[in-house]
Order: sequence, then structure tokens, then C-alpha cells
Amino acid sequence: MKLLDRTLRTYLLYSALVMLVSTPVFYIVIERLFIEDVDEALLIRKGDIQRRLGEFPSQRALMNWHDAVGNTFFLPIGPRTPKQDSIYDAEYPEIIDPFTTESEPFRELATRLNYQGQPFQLITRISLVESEDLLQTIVLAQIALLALLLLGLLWLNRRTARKLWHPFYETLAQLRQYRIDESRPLILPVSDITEFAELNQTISGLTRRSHQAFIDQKEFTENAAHEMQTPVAIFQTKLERLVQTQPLTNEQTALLGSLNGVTARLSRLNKSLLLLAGIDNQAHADPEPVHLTDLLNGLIDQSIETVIAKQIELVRTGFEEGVRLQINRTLLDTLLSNLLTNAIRYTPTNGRIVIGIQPQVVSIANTGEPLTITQAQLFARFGKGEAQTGGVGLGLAIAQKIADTCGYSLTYQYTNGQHQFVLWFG
Amino acid sequence: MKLLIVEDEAELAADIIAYVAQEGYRCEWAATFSAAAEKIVLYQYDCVIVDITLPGGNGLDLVRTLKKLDTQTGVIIVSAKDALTDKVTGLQLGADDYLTKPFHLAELSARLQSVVRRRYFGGRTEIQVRGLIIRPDARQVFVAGQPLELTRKEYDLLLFLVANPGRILTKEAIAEHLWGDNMDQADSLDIIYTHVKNLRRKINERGQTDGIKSVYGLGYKFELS
Repeated sequence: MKLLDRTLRTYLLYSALVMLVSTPVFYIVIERLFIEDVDEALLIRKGDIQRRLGEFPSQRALMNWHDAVGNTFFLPIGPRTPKQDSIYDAEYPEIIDPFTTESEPFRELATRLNYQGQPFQLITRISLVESEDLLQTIVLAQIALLALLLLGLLWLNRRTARKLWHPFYETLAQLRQYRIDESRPLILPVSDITEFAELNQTISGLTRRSHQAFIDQKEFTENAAHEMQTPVAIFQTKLERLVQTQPLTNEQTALLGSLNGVTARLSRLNKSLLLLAGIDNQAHADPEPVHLTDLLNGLIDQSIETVIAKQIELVRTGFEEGVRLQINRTLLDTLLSNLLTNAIRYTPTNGRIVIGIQPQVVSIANTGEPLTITQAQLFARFGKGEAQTGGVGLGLAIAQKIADTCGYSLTYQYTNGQHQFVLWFG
Repeated sequence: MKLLIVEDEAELAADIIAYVAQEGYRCEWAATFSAAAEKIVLYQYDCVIVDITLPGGNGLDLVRTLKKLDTQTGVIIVSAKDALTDKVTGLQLGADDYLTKPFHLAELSARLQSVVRRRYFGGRTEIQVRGLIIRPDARQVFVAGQPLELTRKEYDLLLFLVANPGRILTKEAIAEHLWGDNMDQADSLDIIYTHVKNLRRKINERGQTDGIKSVYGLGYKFELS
């Protein structure tokens, strides 16, 4: 859940609660006010009538009198006539048409009045229908206003929050794209909010130091490999001359033979390290149109003797498609060559290799036993499985590094007894 | 044939000189950039073997100077620098070939002969050895006037052996010559054996002795006589 939504959710919950509680409370308060108002009106009316009692000519006229709608009239004293002013709720049927009557709420005042020394009961009442309508309208309007206020607040809050957090999201987006091997520094937005400014400063410092550490390490690898090159070269040429000296005893020959093998391995290791260190320098240099079919056929030709010697069935699919890519040829060559060499190396005798070309995809699959190492180790430098071969253990690391640097993705999976490497371009 | 070796490592230069001198080349050595620059302007060489990283300058500038002088001199770059980028630059400047350290002397010798053939005989030269006639420009081999059908690898192997007569070519040098760095050592040794066997059989079938000797535990050797 996003931070913005999390804070908004709390607001929303609180607002809903306030609305839920406030509406009935509000209703009750307003209603009470109304009732008080009506009661006051009833008492005023009673006072009016009391003052004007003298205007009635006789008791009979008094008993027959009522106001225009029949809501005020006199009654003789009965057993239930209250002693003092008594105001209460009452309901009377109202005839809407000849067939329907509706009960209508009233506020009623029953009291005693003296006329010519004789007590009479005065009944007067006020309908609550209109006031209830008014009350409803007021409450509705109130709710509408409250809702409007709430929505407005939510909207404003969201807007300001989004604006407030904008630098944070910007930083996040930048970080997501950041690669430690890129020479381009991380440019983070300037923020006048202290927390974000500090965050950006910290991240900038961190990435700068990481990048520097990365560069140092890379340079060290490169320099170490370079510095090793000349001694290895001298060693190899001396050894080559030593091999030519005559006569050689059997013991010397055997020793020289071993030395030759070890030197070749040392030399390959050295070249691989140099290559690994140098990939960044030329990842984006000299792209040229590369015909995938031709390139792969060329690589297969290079190793065809091993394929034949191990009686491997080699299947090519999609080679007739003629897929072309705009790419650095040397790097792609190295990448695919490493994958192919790897496939041939680990395919058992009588095994099968399937090489497939699709637009934007090259897949190389070979039969073989499952890995004895994890996938991470598979692509790691010097990560070799139990199967001992003459490899130096850098082939797949180089392939992965080239794929990363060029923005391709290289994936591995083992299904149906097949190791499959898939290279996605683009 | 006169060569100039431009290499600041005295030991390596000595090895190169000792090896190619046996092929009948006269070698001169320059250890620094300025010494080399002086020599290439003053004297005429058939081929210059130049290291890129030199005290006092970049070997690529020597290549530029050579090309400006418009000489016929062949150029082989031998470099310890970042192979991929320098290789492209070097070849674009007009160098004939490029070798990355470490390299086999036998490989350097073969490349040297190839450059010399291309430069001075327009590639149209024949190598006559032990009843074989090899035409490198057409990649053809003749025995008693009849073409000998060889696979590409067999041909490459034969030419490599012929380029280093009387010397032991280690299996490692042969593997690197035939397949570059891509080949597995374990696999390549068997395959080299198969290629040598087939090559010898094809030559022997035509009634010639092949002159290829197996040197147990080390490699193979081509005897001139």
C-alpha cells in the first residue's frame, strides 16, 4: 500500500465516524430546539387567549369557539384535566382525501382557564409536520455540507501530499534506474524539504562511494591482468624455446608437457579476466548489423569437430528467418560463443543440442544431468560444477556480464532433462 | 628479410629474435618509442613487430608513421592492451595482423610468414616442401600435380606445421592456432590427433612421406627432410 493511501485511509475512516455519530446527535439537538420553540409558542398563545377571555359574551360562546383550523378550543373540566399547564406530544388523524387519513404529529397544550369564575379546559396544539420538514431539510443540508467539506479536504490533502512526496518518488525512480557500473552520476532532484534533501544527499554520497569502489575494483582487476600478461608471455615463449632444445629426456618431456597445459590455462584465464574487465569500455561502441544465422553458423563451424567427436545431435531451428540485429559484433560473438562452448562441454556423448533463433531471442539448450550448483553460482565467476573440465570458470560470467552491459537478459532453466539458456535482445 | 622488433621487455624481445632468426630473418630491436621512431624513418624493414605499450609513446603512433611513410613494410601488432578496442584501431590503421600477449612463438612465426607472402608476393607464392606444393592464396595443396582434398582445419594445420619446420609445435599452440581461445583443451587434443592422422593418411596415400612426427607428450613436428 502506498504511503499516500495509508494516510488518506486513516482520514477517511475518521471522517466517516464523525459523520455517522454527528448526524443523529445533530438531529436530536435541532429537534429539541424546535420543540422548545413550539412549546413557547403554545404558552404565548395561551397568554393571548387568557388576556382576551373577556371578549367572549357568554360561556356558551366560549364553548363553541375554536380557531380557523380547529387547533384551539375549550372543553369543560373533566377528571383527566391537568391542574397546571401540560404540554405533550399527540397524534391526530389528518384527512388527506376521503379514503386516506394519515396520523399527524402535534404538540398540544392542555390547561385550565377561569371564565367568569368558572374553570374551563383550554386545548391548543401546533402541528409538527412543517417543522419536521424543515428539520429534515436542515439536517440534509448539513450532511451535504459536511460531505463537501470532507471530500474537499481529502482532495486537498491528496494533492498537497502528492506534491510533498513528489521529490521522494523522483528519487526512487532515479535509484531504480541507477547502475553501479554506469559512469553517469546519479542526479537527484533538489528539494527544499529538509528530510528529502538529506535523503538525497545521503543517497548521492552512497552511490558515489559505491561507484568509486566499483571503479577501483575494476581497475585493479584490469591492471592486475595487464601486469600479469607480460610475465606470462615471457614464461610461455621461454617454455616454447625450452621445448625446442635437444635432447630431452622422457622425464623432461613429461614435465614440459604438463607445463604447456598449465601455461595455456593461465593464458586463457588471463585473457578472460581482461575481457571481463574490458566489457564496459566497449559495450556501446561500434554497433553494426549482425546476421544472427551467419554468426551462429560460424560459431558452430568452429566447434563442429567436438560436436562430431562426441556424437552430439545438433538441431537448428529458426535459422532460415534471417534475423538481423544492430549490435556490437565482437561482444555478441563472445557471448554466443561462450554459451555454445558451454553447451558442447556439458553435453554428454550422444546428447543433443538445440539452437533456436527467433526475432529478439536466441536459445541454446542441451541435454544433461541437473546442476549440482545453484543458478546464482552458475553465473558466478569461477563457479564450476562437479563436472571437471578444462574451462577456467569465467565463460558464463562473461556471457552474463555482456548481456547485462548491453541491456539483454540472459536466463537459465532446467526442464525435461535439458539445460536451456535464453538470450533476449531489447 | 629484415625485421624490426619494437618491444620494451628485453626477455620477450630476445625470445622473438632467437625464434625468427632461425627462419633466416635478420632482426633489429628497439626498446623505446623514440628509438623505434628513429629506426623506421632511417631504415627500410620488411616487417615491423610492434608492441602498443612502449616507454615514451604508443605503438599505434608508430603504425601511423609507417603508413604515412608509405612503405611496403608489413606490421604486426603485439599487445598487452585491451585486446578488443586496440585490435580494431590497429587494423583500421593498416596493421596486417594483431596478436595478444601471451602468444606462441610458432603462431607469431606463421603470421609473419603470411604477412610477408601477402606483402611481397601479392600472395601468389608457392611453398614447395617434401613433394607438396602449397598455394596459400588459393588455399590449395598439390601432390605430384594433383590437388589434395583437405578440410579447412587440415589445411590450416599443414600450413602451421610447414611454417615452423624442424620445430616441436605444442598441442596447445596448435589448438590455439586452429580454434583461437574458444576451444576446450581436453577436447581439442583428441581432435588434433584425428586431424593429424587424417592429414598424414591423405598425403601418404599419394605416395609421399608426410614428415610429420609425433613428439610424445608434447606435440608434433614437421621435418623438412
